Formats: sequence, C-alpha cells, structure tokens
Amino acid sequence: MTIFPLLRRKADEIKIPDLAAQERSRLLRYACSLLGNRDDAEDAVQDLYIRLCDRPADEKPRNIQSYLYRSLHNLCTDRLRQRPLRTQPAELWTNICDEPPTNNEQELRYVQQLLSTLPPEQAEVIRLRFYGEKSFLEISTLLNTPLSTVKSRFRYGMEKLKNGLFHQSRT
Amino acid sequence: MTCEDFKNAIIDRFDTGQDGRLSPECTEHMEHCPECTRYADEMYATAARLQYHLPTRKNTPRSRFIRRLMSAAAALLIFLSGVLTGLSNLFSTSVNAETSRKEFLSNAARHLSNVGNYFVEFETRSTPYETFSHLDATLPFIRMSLRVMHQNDSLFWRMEKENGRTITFDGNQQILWNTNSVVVGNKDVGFLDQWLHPDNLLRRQTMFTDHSDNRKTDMRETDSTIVVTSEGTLNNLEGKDVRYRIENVFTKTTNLLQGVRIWKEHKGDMVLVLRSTECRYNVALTKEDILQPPCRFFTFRQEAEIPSVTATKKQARQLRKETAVQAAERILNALISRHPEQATEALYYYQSELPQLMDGLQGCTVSTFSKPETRKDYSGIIVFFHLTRPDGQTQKRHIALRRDNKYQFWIVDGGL
Ligand SMILES: [Zn+2]
Repeated sequence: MTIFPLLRRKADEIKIPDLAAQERSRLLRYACSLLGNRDDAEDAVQDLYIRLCDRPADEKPRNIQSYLYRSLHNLCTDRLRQRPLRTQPAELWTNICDEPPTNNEQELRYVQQLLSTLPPEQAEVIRLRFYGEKSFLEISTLLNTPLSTVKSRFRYGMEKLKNGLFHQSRT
Repeated sequence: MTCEDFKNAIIDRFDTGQDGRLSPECTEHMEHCPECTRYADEMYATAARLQYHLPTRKNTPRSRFIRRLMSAAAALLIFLSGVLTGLSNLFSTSVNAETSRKEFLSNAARHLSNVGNYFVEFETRSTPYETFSHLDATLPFIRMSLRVMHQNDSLFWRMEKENGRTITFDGNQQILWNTNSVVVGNKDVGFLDQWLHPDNLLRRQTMFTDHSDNRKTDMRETDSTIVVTSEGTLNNLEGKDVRYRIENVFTKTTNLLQGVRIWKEHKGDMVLVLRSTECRYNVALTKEDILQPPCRFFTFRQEAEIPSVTATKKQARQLRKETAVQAAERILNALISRHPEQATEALYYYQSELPQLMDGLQGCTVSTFSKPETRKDYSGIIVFFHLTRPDGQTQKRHIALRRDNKYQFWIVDGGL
C-alpha cells in the first residue's frame, strides 16, 4: 500500500525523465567529453536519471534542458574531483600533434584533454554546441548568458585550440 | 567586409541549421585575404579534431548497476551507525569547541570498533523496496532492523526492511535480496559496510559537525538519561541541502544510546522520519542470524487471511485445546509419516509444497521441543526442536505457529 503515493508522484513527473531519454545520446556525448571515458559517462548519465526520479514532487525546474545539463555537469565534475590523478595539459601539447589517436578511446581522451586546457566557460559553450547539439541561441538560454557572450566564448575557445594545434611554436 | 566581420561570419557558420555555404561577401574576402582563408581552414580543422567516435563500454551494465545501487544505499547508515555508536561520547566533551569536537569524533571512531555486536530496530518513512537512503516525510512508517556483528577482524551485517528489501554482508559478498531475485556484489562494491568503517564514519560525522550550516547542539539531562539534540543541514544524495534534527537519548549509567529519532524538513515543518524502537548492544548474534535469506518468519509479521476450514465440532474443539508444542509435534509427525491430512488446517500455507516437505523429512525424527517463545514483532509463537536425520545427524530447527484466526487453530507460519 505504501508504495502507491510514490508511484503516483512519479507518474506526474514522467515528462522530465522522458525528455532526458530523448536527450540521452547527446547527454552521453557531453558527459564523455567532460570525463574522457565512456563508462564513467554512462554512470554519470545514470546518476542523472536517478536524481530525476528521486526529485521531490514540488521541485519544478524552470528550464528543463538547463536543469539536465547543469545537473550532469555537476555530476561529472564531482567525478573528476574524486579521481586521484589527471594528465597535465603540458604533456598534452607535446604529445598531441605527433601522435594522433589511433582508437576510439584515445580519440575521446584526446578531445577531453583538449577541452580541459580551456577556461571552463569557453569549453562549456563548445561542449554544448558540439555534443549537446544546441544552437548558440539555445546555449544562451541554457546558460542564462547573452547570445553575444556565448558566441565570443565559442570563438575565443576555438581560437585557442586552433593556435595550440597549428601554431604551437608561436605560442 | 573587414577581417573581423569575416571571422564573426565563420563563427556563425558553426551554429546549427547552417547549410555550410559561405556568403558571397565571405568568398570574395577570402580571395584577397590569405590570413582569413587560413583562419577559416584551421577553424574547420579544429572543429573536426573535436569530433570523436563513442568508444565501446568496458563494464557491463550490470556491474555498473550494482555499483550505483551500492553507493545509493548507504545514507541511512550514516545516521544510524553514526548516532548509535559514535555520538555516545558526545556529552563527555564540550561540543561547542572545535578541538574537542574533533577529539570527540576521533574517540567516536575508536569507540565504534569496541561496540561489538548490536541490534537495532527502527521505523522509517520510506518504501519497502527503496534503497535504504530514502527518507520521505510524506510516506508512512516502515519497520526496519539492523544487525551488526564483529568476528575476529571481519564485519557481518544485515539490514532488513519489513516485507521488503534485505541486504546481507558476510565479509566477502554483499547480497541484496528482493522478493524473487538477488543481486550479488563482491566486497569492493562498497555497499553499506563502508559506512560502518570507522574512518568513513569519522569523515561523515566531521562533515555533519563542521559543514552543517546553522548547526545547533543542545543537551538536556533527566535523572536517568542525557538527551542530545543536533540540528543542521546536510547534503542529501541529490545534492540538495535538507534540514535535519537528530535526537539521541543516552542512558546515564551505561553511556549507551537507548534511542534515536530523526526529523527532516518538509515544506517548512520538521517531520519525524526515523524512530528507533529498540537498541541492544553486545547481543549474541550468529553468522546464520545475519546471513540467512529472508523468509516469512524473519520478515516480520504478515497479515494473512485464514481460509475456511471444514472440521467437525469435536475436531474443532480438540484443535482449540491443543498447546503450541502439541501442535508442532502433531504437524511434524504428520509430515514425517506422509499423512498431511492429519494437519490439513495447519499446513494450509504449505499445500503446494507438501510433496517436497514430506520428502525432505523422510526418515527423520523430531524431539526435544522447546517451550513456546515469543518475539516482539511476531504475533505468533516459535517452537524449537531437534530434527534427527536418517544418518543420525541432529539439527536444531524451529517452527513458527500462530492462532490469531477465527477458529483459534494453530497454523504453520514459517520455519518448515
Ligand atoms: Zn581578412
């Protein structure tokens, strides 16, 4: 008998987990780019779903997309913090150009490391654009940031990566 | 078009819904500006570098599920093992001073390993098949129990929810029992035991005392007890701050905790979400007590409807006069002699299992029936007896009987 109130509550809320399910592949790619590892990313997305289902009934996020990506971002950074050791960006630049990744794991790790060299707010716009497949306008709503700022963060981030990749000797 | 305009146009091309074609102005600009041409090429190449293929998974979803399950299950024990074992030192030091608080926590952690076996019964507002982390102020109370046993350097424990989830740990494996399934995890899944580990306990408690905002601790004394109430906010598993109040009642003479209550904030009110009904220390527990699979007998009382029974008035009178021990003996002998019709009413719940029961008892004898024993949460009684197998081996067994039916007959409720 006791289980019924809970079931009813979940049924009312079915919309958000539904949306999360539609968004799943994008959320996963986004998490991968933060964590550099598919298993960890799958876990983080799973945690996100559990969090959605455990949410109190009265908590209704204003922007669901924003809520999803914010929550997932926090879950991923928590995971990163728990990791004992991280590769330093310095190593990255010396290794990157000589040895292009040869398998999917390396490829992902490489992408994650590239993005980790950027200021977080720039990397975030790039992640949301490429892996969350959000338009600049959507990102501006999602981050509650003016469109012009979103574009300039994207531009500066991309330019930094570009210079690191193609003008290493100059920088 | 300036170079700056061109660069902005390239950035816009990275937005969604772009067909990939450059405007005529851009094409024209590129024709006479090699700098910008290279800028565009390198930006596209950079974007290409940021694409990746999803690697395949390494871990199976199952092992990840268990890991997830295990980590979520712990939160309740944070409170329980914490308040039960650690905070008993609380009143011996000044909790207001930072240093003594730390000292108390270290003492608490050391104290934990000396506690030995304990048994706690409590009620929480939760659901039977939730992981143990969930306390929901809107739900009714459910009975739970926790048994912890230290043996040599190993820890055994059993957490059980009434008519619901049970988790056991045998020092190596953690097993989660559901109605029709079990989930088995190895030692490293870090289920509940990590919270029973002194270091982790200390860490969690330090968090509660140090990082809890607006934390208040209050102590009151009566003739026989000391009541310590702590209040503060804690991060729950969803990462939200929730206000809790924990009340511990200690017995003055023994310094041991005799009760705990926890309130959780819900819509501005503090709602009681956990209350202990019994705390016993240094109790005799066996590995079997801890590790046996949940069965009807041990998952507390079940409301069962007694079926209509066809018995003559004389038979009914006899059945009503029977003592529990007599009934136990009659029922067991009916099974051993393969005459279950001599105990039809008593074996009602075992109708479908009669052939297996009779096979299992074939050639056995029963003896040494104990006096009927009662248990706090069981509305029937339990009779222990010795079962001697055909090979001469003797086991101590029990049978659970109850007679809270309209006929007042003894009915087997468990143990067989
Ligand atoms: Zn130009």
